[in-house]
Amino acid sequence: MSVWALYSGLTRAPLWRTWSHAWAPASVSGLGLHTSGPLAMLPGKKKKRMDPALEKFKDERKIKRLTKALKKMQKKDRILKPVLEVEVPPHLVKEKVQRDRGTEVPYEIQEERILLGKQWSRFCGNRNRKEVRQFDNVILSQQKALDVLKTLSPALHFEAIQHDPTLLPFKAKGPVYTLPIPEYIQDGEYKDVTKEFTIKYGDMKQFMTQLISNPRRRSKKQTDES
Amino acid sequence: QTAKSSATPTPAELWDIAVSVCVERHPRVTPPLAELPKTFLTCLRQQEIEQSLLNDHELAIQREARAKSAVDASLQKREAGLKTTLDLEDDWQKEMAQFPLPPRDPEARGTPHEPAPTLTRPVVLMVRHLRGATPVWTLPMAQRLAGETLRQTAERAVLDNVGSRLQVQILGLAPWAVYNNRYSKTMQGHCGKMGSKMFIYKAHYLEGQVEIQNEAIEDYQWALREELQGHLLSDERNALANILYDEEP
Repeated sequence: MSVWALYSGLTRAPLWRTWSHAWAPASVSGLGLHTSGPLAMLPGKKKKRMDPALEKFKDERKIKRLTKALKKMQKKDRILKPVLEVEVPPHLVKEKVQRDRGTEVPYEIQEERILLGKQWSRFCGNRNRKEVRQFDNVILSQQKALDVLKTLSPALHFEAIQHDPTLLPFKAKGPVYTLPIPEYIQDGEYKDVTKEFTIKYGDMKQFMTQLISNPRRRSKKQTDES
Repeated sequence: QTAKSSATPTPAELWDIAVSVCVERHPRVTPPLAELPKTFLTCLRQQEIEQSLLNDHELAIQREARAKSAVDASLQKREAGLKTTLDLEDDWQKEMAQFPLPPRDPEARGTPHEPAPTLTRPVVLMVRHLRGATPVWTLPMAQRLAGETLRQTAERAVLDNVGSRLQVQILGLAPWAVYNNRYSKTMQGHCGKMGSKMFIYKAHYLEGQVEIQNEAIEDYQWALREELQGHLLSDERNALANILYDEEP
């Protein structure tokens, strides 16, 4: 009886329909037997609902680990950007002996040069001291003018000691050796071959693999406590 | 305003306030070097050559000199279409000769109205106007009007005397120097003041042309230091000496 009932139960709906418990007839499940609907695919893993606190903790740990790794990277020495002016081309280093001028400066001329250097030093010192004295004179002169202005009119004096916003940023174009040629067009075409450099750390690959392979694993006891 | 009981009048009652502007035009070309800097520079350049290594061109010259028969080698090169070092040097000399290098002419003065572009010394703007009956050369000046700050008077001094096309940058709100300009007896009696306190402002010439629209101004000139000092009164000269920088190195 039960088997026949089962069969009738099965033929009630087409086979491709998934059956839930609600579809199974109550009369059939006298013995507590029932069928589940045909499943079209393999049963999937049930997702365990995470504890929200635990989830948060895991995220925090991730962020901490990443910030630590970033700090470590920043502490590591960067490969310095090559400066063309400082780098000596290697072929010149090899050819140094070949390219030696072999000049020998006689003793008298060396002495002359040293004395000239001292003269120059004295000249520069005097020039700089003179300039400083000129600055002092200007400041004194301005102070005198402001004092006189104060006796004449305190209001004008107040206006004069205000900050002048048009003065800064101060621009002055210096003199040149020869004046610019009118309508001179710089000759020659050029290709811009400046090299672009990105920040690079030494042995980046090794460093990253090291980071990935050894994340610090805390013992279970510690996780429970925190 | 109630009269003060004290007998001595205040400075404001004795003196007028006037402002003059020292517009300085800087040289566009560097001045020639003095003796010591020149000798030191040649010495440095000599040392630089001595301490350097031979460059590729000089190595090529050496190689050509060392060749077994230098003349044949150079002939071969020329036949092959290559240039010898002498050829290269000739080419460079020609290129240099053809380059339109502008002249450096420190002696050129130009006119008082338009200083030469190759002038290597700074010049200061002066105007000619009547002081009483006599025409004198002075810095552009103006009497302060009521309600003006000193800086505004300075700007007006430039504008009224030499026109709006001249662009100057007056340096700061505070005056740079002051001197007394006593009036003549007749003038004192006329206006009741001893004279005027002349405040000097310093300005940098930026660009533009002088355009005299004021009938009181007869003429203008861009004066060198000696010419400037020659025209001025002793008080003004002393005041200016403090704020104009010394041209001697």
